[in-house]
Amino acid sequence: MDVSMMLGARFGRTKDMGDEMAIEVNHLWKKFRLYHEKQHTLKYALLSGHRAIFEEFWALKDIHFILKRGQTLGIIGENGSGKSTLLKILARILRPDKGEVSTRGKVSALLELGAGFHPELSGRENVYLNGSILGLSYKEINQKFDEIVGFAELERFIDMPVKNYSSGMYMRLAFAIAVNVNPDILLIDEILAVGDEAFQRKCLEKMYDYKTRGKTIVFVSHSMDHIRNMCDEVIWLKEGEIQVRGNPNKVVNAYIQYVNLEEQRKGKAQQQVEGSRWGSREIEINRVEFLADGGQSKTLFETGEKFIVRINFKAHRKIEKPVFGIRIDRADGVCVTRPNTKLNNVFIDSVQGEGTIEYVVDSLPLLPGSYLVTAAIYDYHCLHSYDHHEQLYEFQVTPGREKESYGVVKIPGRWSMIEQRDSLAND
Amino acid sequence: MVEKLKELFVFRELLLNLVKRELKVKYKKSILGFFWSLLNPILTTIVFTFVFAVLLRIQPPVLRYGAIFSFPVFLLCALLPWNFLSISLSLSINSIVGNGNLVKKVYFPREILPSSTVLANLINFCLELLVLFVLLAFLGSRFFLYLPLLIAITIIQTLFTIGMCLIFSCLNVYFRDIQHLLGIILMIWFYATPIIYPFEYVLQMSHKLPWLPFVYKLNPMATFVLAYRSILYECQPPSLFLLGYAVVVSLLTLYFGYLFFNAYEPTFAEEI
Repeated sequence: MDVSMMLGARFGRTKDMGDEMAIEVNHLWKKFRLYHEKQHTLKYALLSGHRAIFEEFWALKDIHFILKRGQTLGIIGENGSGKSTLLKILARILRPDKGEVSTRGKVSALLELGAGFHPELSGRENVYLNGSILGLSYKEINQKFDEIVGFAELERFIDMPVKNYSSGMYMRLAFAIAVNVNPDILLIDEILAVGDEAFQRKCLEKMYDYKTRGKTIVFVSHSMDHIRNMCDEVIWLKEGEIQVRGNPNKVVNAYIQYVNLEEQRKGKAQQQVEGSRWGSREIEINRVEFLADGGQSKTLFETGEKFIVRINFKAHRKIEKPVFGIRIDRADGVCVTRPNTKLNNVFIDSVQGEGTIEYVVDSLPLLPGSYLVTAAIYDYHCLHSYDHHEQLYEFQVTPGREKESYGVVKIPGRWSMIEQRDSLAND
Repeated sequence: MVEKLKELFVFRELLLNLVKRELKVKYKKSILGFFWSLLNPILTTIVFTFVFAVLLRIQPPVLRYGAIFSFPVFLLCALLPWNFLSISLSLSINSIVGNGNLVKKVYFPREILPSSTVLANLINFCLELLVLFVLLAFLGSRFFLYLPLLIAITIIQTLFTIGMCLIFSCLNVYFRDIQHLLGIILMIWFYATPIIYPFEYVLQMSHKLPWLPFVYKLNPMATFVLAYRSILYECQPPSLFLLGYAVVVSLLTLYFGYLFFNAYEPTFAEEI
């Protein structure tokens, strides 16, 4: 109710700035039929007397939003919540049952890399074929051909049939073609989920590039980090409806909280929550300590001092690709920082048994105050919590030798006078 | 409608590339390439000539001066256009379902898929015709007299074929067993068209069944085959009445096929 009113207001406002809008989705409904044992045959149709039994369900219900040019919209939600359906309707692959979609500019959808590749044809021939499927003209492909091949790092293999490519080569070529399509509106569905770290980074760089060039992007992902980093706005779809729409942090936090609660409700993997602790506990945080330079444990630090957060953990089984993270909040709720091993490019292949991990700050930049620390271990996509200790640890910072004391942090800035004219003397 | 055509124009390069893809894939695997595809009509001609001309003694009509008298040539003049239709239909019927991956993931006008198969086969057909021309020239036929008319007929037949392929490829999305049915339909259609026997045989029956020749000519493929044969084999202009009929039927088929296809196209991505 609340949400729809907010959207209504937004709708009215942006309508006036008509030329700024890139995508307008107007009360969109999409229905699917679920057939019980439907067979796509004439025999079946004739014998069953045209009465196929099916259930109808609404995959999208009254979706309504406007996206301005140059904005990046993230769509999150559980599997089956309608994310891909929405993207396909935006791409004109599916038609809505009610409502309408209008887009301004050339739309390009990257729903699957390498759709339309023919295994018998060479890389070169597939570049032209796939390019034209994605809407590039022969001339455009000619101009970009070397760039595409260079980006895919396939110079030596370009005249080889793609059936002889490794899956990595295949993906690189497909991606290189896809990113050279030059649309005004780009729709991306989970492409970043495939490929290794280096490939994902390349994808992200390219997306940032699109963003800075003022392209409109709609982006479906299960990676909350990517959503947080890339998007200006996020829609959370739940059972075909917009649950929340708004700034990325707000929506993502709400979503993660919901997912955690939901897992807990379903009793998935014996979720346990006691007070401000939740998670499936396949790997547990046993102890969190704050250490000073000499290694002694304490909770009172000075600005500029060495500061170490040490986490002792125990994994009850082999855990693949865990992500360790902490969050430091000032007592009044300001989030200072939330580093994790994935964001900081510390790749942990797997852990088993007991262990210790440390987050070391050589010179603590925090200004005086009281701080709460959250420690957590998550799966690689930062969605499933193994163990999450929400604001369970506290430490204080005192001024010490530092005089600067207003605000949250001391940033490494310097003052320097560049010029000073004595104007009074001239008068 | 106008917008649809504009869009088709925008995607013309895709159509061209898909035609190229089809031809390349077809001929890529062998050095002989195109010549392999000649093998089918050659072998068919040999078998049919043995069965129908030698064993069953079917006689092509005796013709006036300037034409040749040969059952294999008589057969080929009709068999090649027939193959164009039947191969186009059997390949394109699966063009939507077979390219399901593409249909579900990328937007483009779907009619491009069956059309590209037809066009690829048209190119194949034209190459076969060229080979037939060489053979006819070698035999001293004056087939070239009405060559422009032949080109016109080929274009009309292409429109007809595209119309048929739009209908069948669309039906196949909803009824996958149409594919098997198509084989039977094509077999009946083949024998209902004067390909292995001259139309004169049908005319001879008209004293017993006076309506038979009329019903025969309702079949647009019979009209096409008769037109091809009169130009290539008999070196005569085809009946203008028949040609007019072929144009009307072809345009109607294309129009109806297009409407039919477009009515169901929006749900393709869901049904595949």
